[in-house]
Amino acid sequence: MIRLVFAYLNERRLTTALNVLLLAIAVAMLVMLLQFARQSEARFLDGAEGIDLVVGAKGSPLQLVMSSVYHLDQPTGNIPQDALNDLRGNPMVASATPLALGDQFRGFRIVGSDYGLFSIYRAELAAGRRFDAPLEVVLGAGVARETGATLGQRFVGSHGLSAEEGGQGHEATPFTVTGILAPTGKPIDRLIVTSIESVWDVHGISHEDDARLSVEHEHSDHDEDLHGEHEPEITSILVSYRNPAAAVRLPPAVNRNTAMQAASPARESVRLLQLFEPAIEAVGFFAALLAATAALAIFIALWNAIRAREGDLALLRVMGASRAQIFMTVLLEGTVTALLAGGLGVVLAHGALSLATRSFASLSEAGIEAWRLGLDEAIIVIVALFLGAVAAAIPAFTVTRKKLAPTLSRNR
Amino acid sequence: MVESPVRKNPPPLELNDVTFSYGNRPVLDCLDLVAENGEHQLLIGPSGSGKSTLINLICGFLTPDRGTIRIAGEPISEGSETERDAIRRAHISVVFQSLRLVSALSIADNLALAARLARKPVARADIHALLDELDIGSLGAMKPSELSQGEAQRAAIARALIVRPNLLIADEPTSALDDKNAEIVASLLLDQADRHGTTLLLATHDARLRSAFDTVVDLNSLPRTVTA
Repeated sequence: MIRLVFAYLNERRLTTALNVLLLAIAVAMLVMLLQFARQSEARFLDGAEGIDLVVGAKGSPLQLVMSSVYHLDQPTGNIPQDALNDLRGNPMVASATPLALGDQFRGFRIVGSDYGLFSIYRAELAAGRRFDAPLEVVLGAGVARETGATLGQRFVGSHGLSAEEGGQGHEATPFTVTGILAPTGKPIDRLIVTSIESVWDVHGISHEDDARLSVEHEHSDHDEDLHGEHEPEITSILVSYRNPAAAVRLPPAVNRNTAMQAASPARESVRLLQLFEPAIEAVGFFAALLAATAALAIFIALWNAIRAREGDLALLRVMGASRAQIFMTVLLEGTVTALLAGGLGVVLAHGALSLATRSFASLSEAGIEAWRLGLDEAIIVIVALFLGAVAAAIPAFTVTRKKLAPTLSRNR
Repeated sequence: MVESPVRKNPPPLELNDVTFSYGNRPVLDCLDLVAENGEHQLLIGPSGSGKSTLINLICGFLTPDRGTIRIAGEPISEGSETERDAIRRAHISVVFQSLRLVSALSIADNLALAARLARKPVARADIHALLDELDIGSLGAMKPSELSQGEAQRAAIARALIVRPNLLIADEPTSALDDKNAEIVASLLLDQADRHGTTLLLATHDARLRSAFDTVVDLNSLPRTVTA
């Protein structure tokens, strides 16, 4: 009977193909939506793990978190270097990790920081060593993969935080790759990490060299015409609390008593996801409507098909098929259509995501992985199968209720 | 009360006192009919004489108002639809005038499906041998719509015979055919029924076929009891 089901589907292949396509588009939309929502949520939650607070220049707290934790937005400004020492001296603070942003290489941000950044993201070296001397960098796994950069390779950073900005290159101060990190699935995968001092050096900012990183430098070639004489500043500080009480006391203290702001990644992430929620729900509703339309199309196609093959089905009964077998034949047609649509929909969704992540840098920067399969997708396919079965059940039931003698009289 | 003796080889078809009407319109009245093993019976009568009704009753698609119908000793006029399906599946094949084959399947696949539905599996080689026997061996891979009327009727006969039925019923098998093809198909049915030892009941209004049959049952001048 399975062969018969496929023969019937093949007999009206254009209708079958259109129905499969219609339901596949609905499945693909739902899968893409699910992937986007799940991966964004997971990335936001994972990316902020180990960071209780971000301290930076006043402005939008969401922007501060997005730029300093997820590296997806422009920073709100700079803050004095002294703020780092103040926070490190605060008994409520377990660790304070500085960030200095401003340059990029092929769209990947060059982040001045210290080894604490590796601890926050639990990043291990896959090759080489950490940066030590000025202008040495460690590449995140994604950067190494996409740029093809290897150990010892030198490159020139450009001003700005994204490839589109296309700022002036710092040809006089090339970086050297000393290490490559193992993949973490966190924002550091897409960062180029160096010391704070290296960022200052590139921008011609004089500073008191740290004892460990002290190197004499000539800054005559640096692009001081761009930056002029600046005090050493940093972009933001990633803070982890020593105890839960700090969550209550530290943010207000920073916000009230300093010219800086303190933003909680957990709170801002939730706010951001809430901003997306109506759009996700709207697209989800549209996809569900499309799925219902596809189910209706399958129903109409099967309804017309069984009317056209009334004689065939009667002949099957004469040949010995039971009512249950006839019911299952029609039901299977709907279910197989839905199964094909489910499979095609999943492939379409991941193919479209793959195309989108290649075409839109923002998606790849947001860490959307095109071919990551989720268990939820199986549920969407099962729902599609259910829709196909329901759409087929009514025609199937109708055809099995038909009296054989009159049907044969009409067709013999 | 004296019980009738139990026959070791019951006839493929036995009607006792069968009466059937559509509402107030009587169609069959107290009909007795027996077809023995290997017998060829012609059921003749014009449209509306009750041929199709009789075939529906014999196949178990309708149940009589009164009387019993036995197929190879099993009562197809009684019991549940599932039981009637099982009796039909085990013993009966039907060739119709135009409802010949499942349109979506090839000729060979039609035969394979018929065998599977009858729960009498056959090898692919047997299917092709039967098609060869009916002179349509080269058409096994074709769809029914690609065949001529005559070829399609041969394929329908092959589909009916592949399950080795005790009783082969042909309902107006020659009506849509020209004289030449009608003669070929009738000869083929008789020949194949003989070769496979199958009892043949052919219902038609086509008087051309009278001479070829052992027994003729004229529904217009229906005797109350008809035996071979």
